[in-house]
Order: sequence, then C-alpha cells, then structure tokens
Amino acid sequence: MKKKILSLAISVLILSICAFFMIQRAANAYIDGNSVMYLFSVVAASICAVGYAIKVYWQKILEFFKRMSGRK
Amino acid sequence: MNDMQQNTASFRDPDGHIFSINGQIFRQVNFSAQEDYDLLISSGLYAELIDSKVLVEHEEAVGVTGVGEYYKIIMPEKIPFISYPYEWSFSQLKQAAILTLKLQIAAMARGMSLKDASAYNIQFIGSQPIFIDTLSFEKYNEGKPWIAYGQFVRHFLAPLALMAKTDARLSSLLRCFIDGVPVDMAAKMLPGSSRFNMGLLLHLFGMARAMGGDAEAANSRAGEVKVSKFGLMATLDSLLSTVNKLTWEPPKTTWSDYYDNTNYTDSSSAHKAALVLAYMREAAPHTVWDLGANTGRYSEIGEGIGAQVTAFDFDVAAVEFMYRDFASKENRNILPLVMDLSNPSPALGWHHNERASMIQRGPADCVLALAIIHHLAIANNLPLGMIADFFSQCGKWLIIEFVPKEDSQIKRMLAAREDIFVNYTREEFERAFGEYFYMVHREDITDSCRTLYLLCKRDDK
Repeated sequence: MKKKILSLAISVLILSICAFFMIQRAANAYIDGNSVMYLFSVVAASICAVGYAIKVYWQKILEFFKRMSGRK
Repeated sequence: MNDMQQNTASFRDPDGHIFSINGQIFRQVNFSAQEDYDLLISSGLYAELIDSKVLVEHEEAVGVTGVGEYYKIIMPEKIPFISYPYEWSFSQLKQAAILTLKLQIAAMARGMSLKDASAYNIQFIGSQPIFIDTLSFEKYNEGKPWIAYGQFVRHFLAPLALMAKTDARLSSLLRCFIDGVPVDMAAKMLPGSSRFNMGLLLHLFGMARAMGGDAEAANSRAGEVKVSKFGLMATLDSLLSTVNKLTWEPPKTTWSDYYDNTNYTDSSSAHKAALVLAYMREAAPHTVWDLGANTGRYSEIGEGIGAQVTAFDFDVAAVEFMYRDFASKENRNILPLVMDLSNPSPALGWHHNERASMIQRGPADCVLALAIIHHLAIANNLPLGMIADFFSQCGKWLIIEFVPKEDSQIKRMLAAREDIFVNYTREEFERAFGEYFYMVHREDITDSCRTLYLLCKRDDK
C-alpha cells in the first residue's frame, strides 16, 4: 500500500515538473493586447498537459499489455 | 463590364478580403499573407483538407484585378446558401466546433495554426460543414499559445454548453453577441452542476474567473511565458473531448412530430406530395426555400428534382431532428436552419452590413409554404397582404397551401380565443396574393379541405 502511494506521489511530481517546464521563459517576447487571455491559455495548456500525458501513457501501457496477452 | 462588389463582412482581416464580380466570389490575398498562403499549399495541408472535403476548394484566378497591391486573387467554390451560427441547431454548431478543432490539429501537424476560430468561418453544404476562410492559416511559431482559444470558447463552447445544459434556444444569444457569448455571462447562466464537467470547469468557468483578474499584472507577464507544442495539443485534445461530451436530446415537441398529428389521411398526404412534385417540376428551380419545413419531408421533393434546398423551421427540436436525419444520409443538398418567420434573421454587425438578413440572402427560385399560412395569419395576427408581400421577396415561384377555418388545426387554434380573423377566407387569400403573384395552378387536396396553389411572382413586384 505504502509503495503504491509513493509511486503515485512520484508520478504526480514528475508530471508537475513536466508541466512546469512547458512554461518557458523568453526574452523580448511579443506582448499580446489581451494579456489575461494569453496567460490563461498558458495555465490551461499546463493543466491539460498533465491530463494528456496521463492519457497518452495509459494508452501505451494498455497497448503493452495487449501485446503481451497477444504473444501468449 | 467589371461589376466588382466588396463583401461587406470581409474587412477585419488585413491579409485579404472577399469581393464578387457578376455573382462570382473572389478572395484577394495580400502580400502580408504571401508566406502563410504559400506554406498552406507547399506543406500539403491544403491538399489534405481538400481531399477530406473540409476546406472550400479554390482556383487561382487569372485576368481578375483586385484592389491596391496584392499577391494573388483566388476563386473559391461558391457556397449554395450562407448561414449563421444563430440559425444552426445544436448538432450543427457541435459539428462546426469539432471541425474547427480538427482543422487546428491537422494544421499543427504541418507546422501551421488557425489564427482565428470564428463560427462564421464554417458554412454548411447540405449537412456537411466546411471551412471557408483560406487565409485563416498561419505559420505555427513554437511557444506561442493558440491565439484563437478565447474566440473558440465564445463562439462554440459557451453556446454549446448553454444549449446542452440550460436551453437549446439559447443559440439565439449569438444573434446578440456577434463575437460569441461572453464567458462570464455563460458561467452565470449555466447550472451549478456544470462545474462537475472538468472541461467546462477549466475552459469556461476558469476563463470567466481569469477574465476578472488583474489585467495590469497580466500585461507585465504575458510576453514572458510560452506554451510547448505538447501543451497546445493537450489543450486541443481537452477541448475536443469537452465538446464531444456535450449532448442534447431534443424533446418531442408539437412540431417535431407534426406529421404524426396532422389530419391528413394516407391518400391526401400522397396527393399533396404528388402535387408538390408536379408544381416543382413546372417551376424547375435551382434553389428552394422550404418555409416551415418541419422534418423536411417536402424539402426532399425539391432535392429530388436537383435543387439546393434551405429548410427553415422555428422549432429547434424539429431542425435538430431534420439535421440528424440528413447528416446520417450525408446529404449535401438540404440545409436545415432555425428561423422564426415572424421575426426572421435581420442584418447585423458593423453598419448593419456584416451579416445579411434572411431576405438579403435570397431570393430563391421557388418557395414552399406548406401548412404555414394559418400559423402566420392566425397565431401571429399577420395580415394576408403582408404575408404575400414577404413571400414575394423570398422567391419567384410560390407553392402555397391554403388552410381554411373549417380545418381541424385552425379549429384547435381558435378554440380558446376569439375569432377576429374575418378576412381569413379563401377569397381574401386569393385577392391578397393576387396583388403580388399570378395563379398558375390551384387544386384541392383529396380528402381534406385544403388547397394547393402554384403562384408566380408578377414582373412589377
């Protein structure tokens, strides 16, 4: 049980770090007139990225097990 | 004679504009759009979208002169009838939203992006949605967020959520708000349970909350942050999933099951259909407007003789059923639209010129007005002369069914109100319509007290 919780915590941490690095800093960037919307779209993309990463990896895991069961 | 007319809805985009010459549509591509237009072609995106019939096809025009300095003039395929989002049923708006997202995903795969997500960039050929703004594609710059995200939420997600979760008739809000439903207003109008939908919680309620945030602080930070391509794809995937999960099951209204409740016998129904077909063949129209189309039974007769049919009905449920039926058959000739004839779509937007009124988008070659006259004259108190005047502006030929007061439908309508319609008689009908049309045929429908007319507009009207 403890192992499962630890594994879950590590996964969340890794994904959070991934999301953090998706927001990069840039110099001399264009300042959009609708800045609130600009910033919100960045935040929304970060949140969606976490869910999307889980979805993509979950599909890969499922495919792996399907292949495994196919070999048997 | 070069009779160039600028399209009054095409003035916001500095990269080009639409104009027409003798009815043929052209799009001018300015030098500012040269790089993006060339990339659209060279990346293979244009060919891919044309193959899948989701982008309007065009040819490069030769010998046509545009305005000022420009890169190219292109000649897009003509759309049979221009419709607007406030005239679409739930499923039409949903299909338009899905197409916009799929186009953005396809564009990103080829290094491009949509610079806007306006619902007005989608049109329908029959039941098939198609993207019409060739100049909306621009080069994708890594790190840049999807600039059209907010517009997508206002034009598609907010009205779809309101239609699905509050009331399907709220699509009419798009008529008031030409750049989409304000997200803060949509957030207030949606039921509290909508917050349990994760997609709506983020993209709609979250955005509404953010819009009330500190613009000064946002201004200072907006240029510093970037979004990865992965983050952008994730946003699009989330939006697509949110839109796909929004559903609306129309209730069985009086109108959506109208044909099951009429007083037509099988023989009268068959006789009416045969007469409509015979009249239609005589009129030989290329375009038909079916006013009060209901489930589109008679629109299919127009389609059968090779006409492009626009099928109007005021009932959102009837139009929804009609669209689902035609979409399941991949119909490309009948376009169902929501339209209240007692309050048809007006001219809207800047200078009353961005969106055309219903009448301005006509006239059709032939108008079908079956079993509708009593709803206009009695339910809406419209004088017969004014109805005749309106129909004469809608089209040249008119196939119209007169329903007399002896009919059970009218008896039902008058059961709970005083009969103030002394002029609602067959004689007065013929006199009023005779001012605008001449009569070609008149025949009583078997086993009913109704009469079907084929009228043709007078030359001086």
